[in-house]
Amino acid sequence: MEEKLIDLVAEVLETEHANLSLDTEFKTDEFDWDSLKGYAILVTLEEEFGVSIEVEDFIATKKVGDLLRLVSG
Amino acid sequence: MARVKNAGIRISGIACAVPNDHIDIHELGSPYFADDFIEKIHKNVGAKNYYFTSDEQCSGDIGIAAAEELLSSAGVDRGSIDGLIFNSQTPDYVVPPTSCRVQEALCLPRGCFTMDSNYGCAGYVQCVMIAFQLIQTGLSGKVLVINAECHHKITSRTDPDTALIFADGASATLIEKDDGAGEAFYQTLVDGKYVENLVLGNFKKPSNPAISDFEHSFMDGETLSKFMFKEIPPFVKELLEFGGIGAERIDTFLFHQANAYMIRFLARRMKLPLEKVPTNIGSFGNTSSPSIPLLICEKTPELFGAGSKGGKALLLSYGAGYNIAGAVLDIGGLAGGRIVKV
Repeated sequence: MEEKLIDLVAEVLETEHANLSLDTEFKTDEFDWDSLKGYAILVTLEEEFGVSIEVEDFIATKKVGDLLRLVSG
Repeated sequence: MARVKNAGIRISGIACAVPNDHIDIHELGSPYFADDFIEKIHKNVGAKNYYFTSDEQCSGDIGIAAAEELLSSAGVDRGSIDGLIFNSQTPDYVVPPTSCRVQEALCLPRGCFTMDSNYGCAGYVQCVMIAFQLIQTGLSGKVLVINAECHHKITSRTDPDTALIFADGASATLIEKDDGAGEAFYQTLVDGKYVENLVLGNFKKPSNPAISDFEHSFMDGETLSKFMFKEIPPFVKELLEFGGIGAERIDTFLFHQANAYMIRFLARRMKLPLEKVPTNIGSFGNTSSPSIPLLICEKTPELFGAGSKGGKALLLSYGAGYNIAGAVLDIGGLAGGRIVKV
């Protein structure tokens, strides 16, 4: 699940898998973060993991590892 | 989902017009926004250059210019045009329809059927689809579709959601009977829950104070993005199924030029090769309804222009409503093709 999550987040952020780990803070200028990418991640994770994610819960995330907890329920 | 299949009708020509006045994203944004915000819009949205109508120009003016270019360059007999659709969020008048002015300005016959529409960014595919139906039913034999927008006149220069996105432009598309033309497939989806999430002005009472002026459009970009991210991939899948064709047989995917990142993201989600999904928001900004014809004229002249063998295209418009309209059809040997400045 962890590898799939990082693959998906890397695709949304238009970066390489190798540039990300569970410890990576992804809402940063390094990844040209904006709200559009936020919704891209949200929709991607909901569809790929079959979960429903509250926007407030997503807003509270900082690191890729936080996303893993969201999709793990 | 509304769907219709046509045959024996084709797009025979396209031309576009943009105003002479143009401005760069840094020049436009620097009085109101920090440099890093402007740079992020440039990198993510892809916007770089915009054309803005002058105080003396309106949508009808640039729409007429696009149509004049098309009709002149293609040598079209104006007396043969018996259908005219004018689509704009910024029409010359609330009443009468701007198409009446355009009919007279282009010297089209008095018997030409005319209508206006205000579909917003989804207006290109919507209006081409309607033109096909006018011909299919026999009301018209040759229809001119004009998409013309002066979006910068209804954009607040200080609104971070819209100020560095929207710009002006116009297109003219000629649609006519052609017994040799193959099948064309159209599909539309409307979800009216979101009418006030992308909106300009209202006479409705009680009015929502956030959207009640006619001076500036309002766009909730985040809700819009989430909706389109969720809805467009299955919409395109169903459109391809309706057309009985696999994505691999589409030569090019022509998406409304709202946001370059959004288009790349959607293309990857749908596993479409990015080289088949051109973008040109950097050239013109988001011009709303003329963005697909501007893309065709700038990016695909070898595939679709005069003398080309043509190819199969998937067109996708989306925007206010929310509204998604798609088409799968053959395009080739298009007359016109120029983008003129007026």
